[in-house]
Amino acid sequence: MAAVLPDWLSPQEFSTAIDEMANAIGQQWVIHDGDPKLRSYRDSFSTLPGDANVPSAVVAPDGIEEIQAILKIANEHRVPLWPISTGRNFAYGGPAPRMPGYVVLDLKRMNRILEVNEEYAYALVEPGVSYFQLYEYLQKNNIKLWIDPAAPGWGGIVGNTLEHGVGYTPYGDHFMMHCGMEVVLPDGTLFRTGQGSLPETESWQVFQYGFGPILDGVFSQSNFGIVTKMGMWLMPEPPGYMPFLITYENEEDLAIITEVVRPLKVNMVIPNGAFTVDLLWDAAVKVSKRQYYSGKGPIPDSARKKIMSDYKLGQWNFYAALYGPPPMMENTMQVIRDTLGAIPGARVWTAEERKHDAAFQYRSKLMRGEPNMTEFGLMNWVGGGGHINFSPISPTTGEDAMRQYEMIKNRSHEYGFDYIGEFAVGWRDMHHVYMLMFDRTDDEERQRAHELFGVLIDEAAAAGYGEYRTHLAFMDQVAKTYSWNDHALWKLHERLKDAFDPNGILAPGKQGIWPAHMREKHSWTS
Amino acid sequence: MDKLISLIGLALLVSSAAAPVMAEERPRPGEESWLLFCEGCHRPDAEGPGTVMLQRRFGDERMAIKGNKTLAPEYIRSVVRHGLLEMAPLRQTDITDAELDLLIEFLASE
Repeated sequence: MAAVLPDWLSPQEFSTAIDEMANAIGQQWVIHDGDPKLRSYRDSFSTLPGDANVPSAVVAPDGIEEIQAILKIANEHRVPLWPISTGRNFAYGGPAPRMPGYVVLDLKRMNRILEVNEEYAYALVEPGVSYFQLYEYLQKNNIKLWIDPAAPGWGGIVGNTLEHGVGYTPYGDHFMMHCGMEVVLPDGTLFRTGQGSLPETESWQVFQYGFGPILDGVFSQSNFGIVTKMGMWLMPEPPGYMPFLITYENEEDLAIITEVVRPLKVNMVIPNGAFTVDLLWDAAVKVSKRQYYSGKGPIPDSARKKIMSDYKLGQWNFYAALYGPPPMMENTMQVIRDTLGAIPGARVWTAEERKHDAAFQYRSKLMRGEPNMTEFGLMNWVGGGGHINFSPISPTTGEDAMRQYEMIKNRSHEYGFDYIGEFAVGWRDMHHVYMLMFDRTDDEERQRAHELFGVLIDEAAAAGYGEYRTHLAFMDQVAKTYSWNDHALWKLHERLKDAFDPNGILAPGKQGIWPAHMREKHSWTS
Repeated sequence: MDKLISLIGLALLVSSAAAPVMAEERPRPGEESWLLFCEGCHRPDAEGPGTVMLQRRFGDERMAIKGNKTLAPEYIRSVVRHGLLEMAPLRQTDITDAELDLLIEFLASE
């Protein structure tokens, strides 16, 4: 099967470029020519057809010099490269490139844990290091530091952080907790951010800002450079840990829960990511939809009530945890009982009471930094793995929570899908994550899910809600919603793109940022 | 004072600082690959989504992939490389062919 190529690249030029890359890094780390292995770089779960966005080739360098060699060749032949780290950004695209025919730059081989400093509580890692890998390393070496994994622990620390991912411990805002980057620009320039640019420094991973402009953010959710090393602060293991669950009986309780959570989070009474989880998100790791409902469309209320009763769950299920010396945790727990626990119909559950509950167990692990894959069990709700996440941001108010919930639930039901969602309060904002699950073997259903997603983006934007992250297929649409002052921000991104990457070789279209030579066809800013 | 230090968990301040760089053993032993790529979904209990799905479909006898004699090496190799439904494929950069052989040996062991 001949590879799909970008329209400006002839098969001959592409072939020359790939041969040169193979010479630079070794034939065994290059995949091309329609090799079936290319299919392991597809997104197996999205609303796009099965073989959408398959790359034309894959190159997997190990080390800065090999990356620089590939960049040089890509610049000479204008080959678009799509960097991935562990390639597990599922629901948002996985390892697949933005467009078919790009060459994936797979950094998974670069998976060294370069340093773990127990005294200052940080790690310095390469892009291929997964949460499981760092966790195993800390365990084996008896280092009393916690990581903060994404819910599926197969993901990577660098990739998740650069995508603005969130976790469940008090270190849940990953980008906030990173410290220092090493970056290669598309022209091969290698530099370090923050204190890392001082040759004799020992402060690269202890102070984020350095001297002068802070550039780290420019390399997150962007296509301006390749991050090859990153520092990550790790939480020292606390002397005590107390996870809890509070179940609520009514859908409309979401409003009062959110109002009560806000001061508890803003004042840091609850130190970690506070999650208000809807019934199906919690239940789906334990039961399949078929066990309760064999019809088409969203599961009816009668079945929801049955699940609530069978599994002692609420319409909403609030998870958080306390950390520290036991007397401090017990005092704070009393505040929780007097506030969140005092909402009519609330029931507070301890770890002991839910020790046989797989959902409580995996959340309890996540909130103490133990990576696992249990949440992936959500995929068993419908089966087949089709899922895509819609994740709008809002202030933490009851009114916003209800408005988003009603809006997304109603549209979701109208299109024949279950509402499966959670509201994550990090500090001041809410990330509302709606898990749109569908049967990928049913083309009509897959396309219906795709259409629904597009409708949600525009409807949310009209109400003032923007997504913090999105799937490849919707990057342009979401980017267009950040339009204040005639798309001034995306116009600036395009100017940065031209400055950092004049040949437009790095991840064209990532986050709706297109290089000059593709702008006429794809961009909306002029 | 000792009590205070242990109470608030500051004991780590007296521990040594930088741990050595982890030089991963390659080819990676089968058990290591299992921990990094398989166990999360295929741990043999209700917290393993792969196990839960296989139990629903094939019953208790065949829900575990570790120690499961009904799984042919070629079948495992194919599912790992191509993926199957909820399971995403593992790439050559995740696990090499030689490491996949070691993993298959580990899965067959008791």
